[in-house]
Amino acid sequence: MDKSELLDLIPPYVTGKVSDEEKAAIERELPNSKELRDEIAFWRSARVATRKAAAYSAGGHLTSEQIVDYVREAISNPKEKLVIERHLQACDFCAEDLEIVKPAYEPSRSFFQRVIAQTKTTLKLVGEFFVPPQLPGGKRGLAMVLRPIYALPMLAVLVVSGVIIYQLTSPQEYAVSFALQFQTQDRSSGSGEVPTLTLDKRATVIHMSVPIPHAIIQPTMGNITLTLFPPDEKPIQLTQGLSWSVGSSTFDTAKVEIPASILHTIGTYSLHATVKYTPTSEPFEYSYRFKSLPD
Amino acid sequence: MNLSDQDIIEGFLAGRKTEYEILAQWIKELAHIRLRIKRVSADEIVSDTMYKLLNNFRSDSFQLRGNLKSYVQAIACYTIIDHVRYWRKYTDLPEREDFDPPDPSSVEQDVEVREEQSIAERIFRLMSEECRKLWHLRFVDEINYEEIGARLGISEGNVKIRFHRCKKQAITIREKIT
Repeated sequence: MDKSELLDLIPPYVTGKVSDEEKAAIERELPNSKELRDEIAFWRSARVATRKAAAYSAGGHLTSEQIVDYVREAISNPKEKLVIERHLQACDFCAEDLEIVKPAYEPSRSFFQRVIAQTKTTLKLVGEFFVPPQLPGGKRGLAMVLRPIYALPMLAVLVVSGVIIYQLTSPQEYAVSFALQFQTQDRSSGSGEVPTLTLDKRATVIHMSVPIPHAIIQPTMGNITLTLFPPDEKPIQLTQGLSWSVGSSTFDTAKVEIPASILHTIGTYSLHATVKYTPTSEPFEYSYRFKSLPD
Repeated sequence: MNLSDQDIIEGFLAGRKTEYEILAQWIKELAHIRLRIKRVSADEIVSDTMYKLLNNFRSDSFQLRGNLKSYVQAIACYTIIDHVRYWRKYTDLPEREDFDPPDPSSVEQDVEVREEQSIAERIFRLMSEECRKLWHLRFVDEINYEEIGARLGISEGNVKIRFHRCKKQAITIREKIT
């Protein structure tokens, strides 16, 4: 027998359908022929693959094409559709296959819809966790008593998670300090140097220090008012974080917090400090100017 | 770059990378399906789907009757189900039969045998209907060349030639998908 004849015999050989003589001829050549050994390996694999596929088909399952076409509503024949639906009701395997490919044909959901869906799933899981285990005899009495054992650690986890999420997601304050110098009351336009506030774009609040000429009798907080005049905008009374401290024998310092959003307009701002050194005294007014420039 | 369905098919058949990547991307969009199937490899889904597409486009079976993306994703879904079914068979059906390779002597050999078998089954799913039928007659119905010829209305010699062609087809598929 030549090699080509032997090779033709391998498919029947792997199914055991060769004569004793043919079998002996093959096995005689096997130790010396890698080609023959590879051929046997190939047809053995082919046989197993074919038989497995046949065994699965024998179960009468729907084809992958039928399942996918059913999901994508590409089956127009009502009879065929009915056959598929009946099979799906009875066959868990095919129903499972259908569930696998179903998401491919569901309408695409936005990110937020997906987040909501995921949240619902998570809540459902949490809800299931809180359901007390069934006790023998179907009673849940003791389990109900045990619920806080589950609930308290879960509550603690939720609170800690909430705090962490708040810390991570809440906007962080980014403060910039700006100290004004006392400016003599020069009414002439353009004279004198105007300090410049360079506003970092990350800034959320400006801690501004305003020098106020010192008085022997220290005013109370109610005796100072600070008013900001943005360029071409209405004046704003500054009250947030307003404090007062004695600086030196010449100047004291009023401090105030100004939301950075107010100072984002480029231009020259005026700040008026009205100070009543005693509750009954006439107010003194001090005026300051500064420029706001973006970073 | 806006390519028409026809352009994409032509580019893919010509072996152009851009068009190949467009098709691969459409298949990969089904990632949310893949995530649910633990043992199915995404690369295998892509390569098997690509092979099917190559054959279908060559045989002009798409014929631009619908949207190409939907078509590609449907083929990918068929492939996903085939793979899922393979893994189900892997656990549900008997692994070895009388003519299977002998029990491996080591874990490595066992893994190798399983891997080989997995490839053989992928190849079988990607083969032409004609070859699958031929193999079915040989390995399931267990009939000889002469009887196969009689059933198919061809000579015994022709059956052997077809077996040879099917083997070549299987080797080509193996080269493409591995």
